[in-house]
Amino acid sequence: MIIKFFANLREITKDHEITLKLENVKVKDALLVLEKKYGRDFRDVVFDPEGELYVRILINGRNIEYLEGLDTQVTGDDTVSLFPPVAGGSHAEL
Amino acid sequence: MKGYMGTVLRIDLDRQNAEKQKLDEQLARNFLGGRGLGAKILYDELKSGTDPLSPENILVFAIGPLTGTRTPSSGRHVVVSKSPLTGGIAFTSSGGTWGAELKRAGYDAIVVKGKAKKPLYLWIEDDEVGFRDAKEHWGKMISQSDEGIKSETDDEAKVLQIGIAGERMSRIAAIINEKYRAAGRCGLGAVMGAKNLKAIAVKGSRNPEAADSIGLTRAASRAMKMISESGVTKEDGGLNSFGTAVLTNIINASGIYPTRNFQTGTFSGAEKISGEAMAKTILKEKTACYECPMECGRWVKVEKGKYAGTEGESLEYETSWAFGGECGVNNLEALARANFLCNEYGLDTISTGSSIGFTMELLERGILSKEKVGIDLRFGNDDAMIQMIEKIAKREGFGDVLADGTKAASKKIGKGSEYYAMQVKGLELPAYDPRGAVGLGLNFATANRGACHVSGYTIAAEILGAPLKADPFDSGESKVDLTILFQNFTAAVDSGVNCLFLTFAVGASEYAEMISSLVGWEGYDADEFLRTGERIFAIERLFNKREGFGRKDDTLPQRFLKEPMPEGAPKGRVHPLAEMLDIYYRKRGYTEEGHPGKEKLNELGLMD
Ligand code: SF4
Repeated sequence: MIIKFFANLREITKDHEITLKLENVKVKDALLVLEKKYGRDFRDVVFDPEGELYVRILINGRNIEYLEGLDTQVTGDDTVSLFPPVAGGSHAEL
Repeated sequence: MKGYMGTVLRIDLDRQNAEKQKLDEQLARNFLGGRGLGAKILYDELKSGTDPLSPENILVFAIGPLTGTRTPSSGRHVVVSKSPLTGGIAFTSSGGTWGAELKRAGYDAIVVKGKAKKPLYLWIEDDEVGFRDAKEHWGKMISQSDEGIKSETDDEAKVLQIGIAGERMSRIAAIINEKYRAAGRCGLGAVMGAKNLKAIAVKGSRNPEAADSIGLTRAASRAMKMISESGVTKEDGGLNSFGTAVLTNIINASGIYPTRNFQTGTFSGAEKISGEAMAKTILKEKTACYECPMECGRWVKVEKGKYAGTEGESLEYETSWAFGGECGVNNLEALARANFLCNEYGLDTISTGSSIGFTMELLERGILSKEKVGIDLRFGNDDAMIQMIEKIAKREGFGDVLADGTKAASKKIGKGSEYYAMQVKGLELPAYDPRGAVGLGLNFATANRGACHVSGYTIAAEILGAPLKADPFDSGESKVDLTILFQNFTAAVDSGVNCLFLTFAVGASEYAEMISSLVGWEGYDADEFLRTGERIFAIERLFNKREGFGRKDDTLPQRFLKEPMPEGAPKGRVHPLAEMLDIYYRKRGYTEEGHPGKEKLNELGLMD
């Protein structure tokens, strides 16, 4: 599967895009593989201090929020894109 | 009433007369300032059916109570008029510091009527208002006339002006301030051109007072703190590191980056023109408007190649898309050149890029020929794109057809070209394909000035997931609520007036706190702020109703209703507008025709 990193995430990964030889795993398993590769800093930007997902993860362009979240299955043909919060808002209430 | 300067400057160009009028407090509380105040003035004073390019049209330059204060991102001003591009209400805002300077000069708004016999400009220095001959500056590039006007007035004056496009009354002409900032949309540069008003230079020496200075400092500091803590707006966050073009990759990955005139939503060249790419190549430094810690502006410089020498503040997301994805161009330097030319000639980048992309599709489909267009305006041909910008600005050759936007152009061209004009109410769509973000699509259809993203930026929730989260494909009641909420909130923010990007970090209660401590209104809270936004949206509707707008105009280009998205996450989807529109009208308290109903008007205090 193809993993793409955007914006400030690239400062940690140094990669824009990598291919992982993984078949039918859950998103959270793929994240563990990435954490091993890129270390603690990577984990710290992917999750906030409370352990909540901080980045947006898209699988083939669809946000995992509207799939099965971190339990969403990913196959070898999928493209997984990781974005830090890039625009759009904080936790302020409208 | 603190916070405001309490004065509206009335300019009669026919008689070269300037009069000062007191700003009514109840009017201010009901409509705040900026967009709201402008809409109210237009509604009360402009006869329906007025030709937007006639002397009778009214042009309002307005700021709000928060403008020019120590609250964050408060240098903006709003221009309101009847749009020559849509025939309906137009409001368009710009950053920089001109708005803050107008406040220091002692005014909350300038209302311009009539037409000067010869080109002139206004020179406002506190209480002094002068009408100056603009002969020397007419026909010049923006950077030249900016310098020229400053040398005749004051080096520190802030100059707002039109370029050659506005002088030639292009209906997609912008109003530029401080060389690089544009009140771009809806063609209000042409209204200035039609009035022979080249520029307004301002310099002021006063400071607004706050009703509760300590409270205002507290509220402003709180907002600043929220900016510094948000991953989006903080220093070295997404917006600050990469500018608004940080959106390019995420919008493209989501499959809604309009490509080659909205034929698809995925552009293979996106990475090359993204904010990330810019940061590594042509970016020289970050720039900011008045009192803004977010610094989303980009100063770029092209050092080599055919576009070498191109330099300036440039390439906001929408602009990089308008000449990038829309025209199929993946050369960042060409995009910087295109942006530079639009600034120098005073053209709206979105409508200009869209008009060119539209022509490119017509050529691809054989509806237009190369001979007719005069140049080889193929998708991806950056040289031809750059040439066409100059032709549009000068109304040369086929540029004359495009200088009035895609709706007018498609009427002239005929042969089914209307289908490929990507506009709503005459205003060209910005950089999001509504098939994959249906809340934004509903906003494009219903926004009062036409297809406008900043009237209700639901992308924040639908794609970026903050401050709320919403499934971009969901078209149910909650999505309609979301669109309405964003539209009302934005109408109030645009009347406040702060930069809309402040809403990336700050919510309605923070706005209300800033306003109440500044102005001193008893009981002013988030509900009143949002209700004000609802009132402003409704009075704009009433204005449009009088001009003949209704349900038939609350629509989207047929492409989005008929052609399924060919690829990406939204593959196979069209926009479900029909099912959303009835719910939208009902929830807004509007009639089936899309006009505010009696009960709603009563509730908003708009029955007269
Ligand atoms: S966020 Fe950007 S556009 Fe808005 S005020 Fe700040 S620098 Fe200007």
